[in-house]
Amino acid sequence: MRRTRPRTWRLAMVASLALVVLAATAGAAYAADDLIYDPYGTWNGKRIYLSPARHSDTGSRGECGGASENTLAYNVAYYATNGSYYADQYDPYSSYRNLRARGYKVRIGRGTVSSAISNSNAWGADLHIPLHSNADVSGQCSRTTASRFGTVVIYWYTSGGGPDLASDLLYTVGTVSGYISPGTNDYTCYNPGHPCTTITLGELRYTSAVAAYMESEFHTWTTGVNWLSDSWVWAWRIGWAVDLHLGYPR
Amino acid sequence: MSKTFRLTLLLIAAAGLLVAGQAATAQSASAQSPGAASPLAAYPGFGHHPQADDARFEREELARERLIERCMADAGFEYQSAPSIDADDYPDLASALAAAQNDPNELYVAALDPAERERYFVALYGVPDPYSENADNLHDPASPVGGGCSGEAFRAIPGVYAAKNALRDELAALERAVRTDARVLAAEERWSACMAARGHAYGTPRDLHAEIDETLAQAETFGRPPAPAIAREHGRALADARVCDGQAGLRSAVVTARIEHEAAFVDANRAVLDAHLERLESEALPNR
Repeated sequence: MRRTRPRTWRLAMVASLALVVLAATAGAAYAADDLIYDPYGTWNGKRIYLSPARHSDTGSRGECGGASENTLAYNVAYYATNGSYYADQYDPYSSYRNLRARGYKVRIGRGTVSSAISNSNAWGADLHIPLHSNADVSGQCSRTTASRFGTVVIYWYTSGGGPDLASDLLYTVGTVSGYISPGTNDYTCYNPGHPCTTITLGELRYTSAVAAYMESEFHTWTTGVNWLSDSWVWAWRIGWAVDLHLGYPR
Repeated sequence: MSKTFRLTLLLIAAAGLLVAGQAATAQSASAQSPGAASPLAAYPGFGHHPQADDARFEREELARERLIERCMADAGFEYQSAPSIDADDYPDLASALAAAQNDPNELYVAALDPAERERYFVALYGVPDPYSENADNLHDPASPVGGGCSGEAFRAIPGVYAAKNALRDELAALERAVRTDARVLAAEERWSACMAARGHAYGTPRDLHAEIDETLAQAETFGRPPAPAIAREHGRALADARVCDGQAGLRSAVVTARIEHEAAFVDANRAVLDAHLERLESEALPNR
């Protein structure tokens, strides 16, 4: 069952989202400085590097409704770090929603893929999570067959913790319950070699941290883009997956 | 938001804040620090002195940026030091975002023609397209050569977390050893019994936190918050978890186990750790 959001709440959120979208899109093609966020309370000792997509052709990758994969991914990173939303409602008091509330230091990569790898390693990240959305064919946004879409989470084939992190992310974002990704073809896969990706992913190969590369839904169907655009609602599940993987360090 | 809902959230949040930092068993050194009692505390970058580590990291980052700036100038390009933005240094999130977006290098690169931009990226990163997802098109940071000015800077200043990176597998084993230590498991059993006596059925604090997340996810399915009774129960469980942590000696058991396992970790990896310390002590870094 998919829930609906009250119109008043949606309108209220537009204002706060607008600034973020503006900031994310203004320099989407070239490097900006990484952002580091501290936890609200006691640090639990863990560092999470979120690495949103920074495709130089963002907006021309088959995204439906004029969306930009970079912006969608950046907003996921932003809300996974700073969002505090609870079942349709903004709730500044919730202790459970975002990574900072859960005690993590978070760094959001704003530069290139090269700089994300170097910065994640130099910062001593414990987990490295590239955030992307998937694509198949463009121009067919009205498709409704959910089994053609879904969330894929990719890990490096020799990584000790990668498979588990990928499974945790898939569980909380793609399969558990609630406002999960609308496609139903959800799975994890390894890189390189598995046909889920045709290239060797640099952010899995060259990062020191345990890494899992998220392809959260497809941006080539309207249903997927709508869900991705609601990142302020579902992005709390990134923190949930991180907590599951690390054993709720407090 | 209804008053009942907000009150429920406040109850949970208040209990959560009370128990935060005290209820789980997989604690890190900084959240549940053994302090100077652990020999690992002598080595920067492992979380025992997080403020000092962060301060050093900032100086390292600035030093790297200055190296890159000089290197890029030698290559005939403009480059201005652009270290990461710490959101806590700004009055609000929007200001931090704006500061991050004001990277002068971004404007410079955007103004270059495609061929010149490619040369810029080769000089900076050693590759023509640092945005490529494909590892085959990127510089391997573990390589002893290449990577452009950035690669040279990171090799010159490996940083305060270099040993942590070099000992990833060993650190993962250390965490597993703490988590499965007989003293910790026994303390978890006592914690669970304490919770049961208070009417809560959880094996570990992790189980409690996980159940709360599951409950929230299920609530999203129906587009409404969890039933107030469930939320109140979780709030009560979180408060009791703190009491039981103290009664069961869970946190102290974790600290005791951690000190012991960290000592073994230091013994097993002393050569790497000592070389790390020696390098850090020999590096001259600018003040930020």
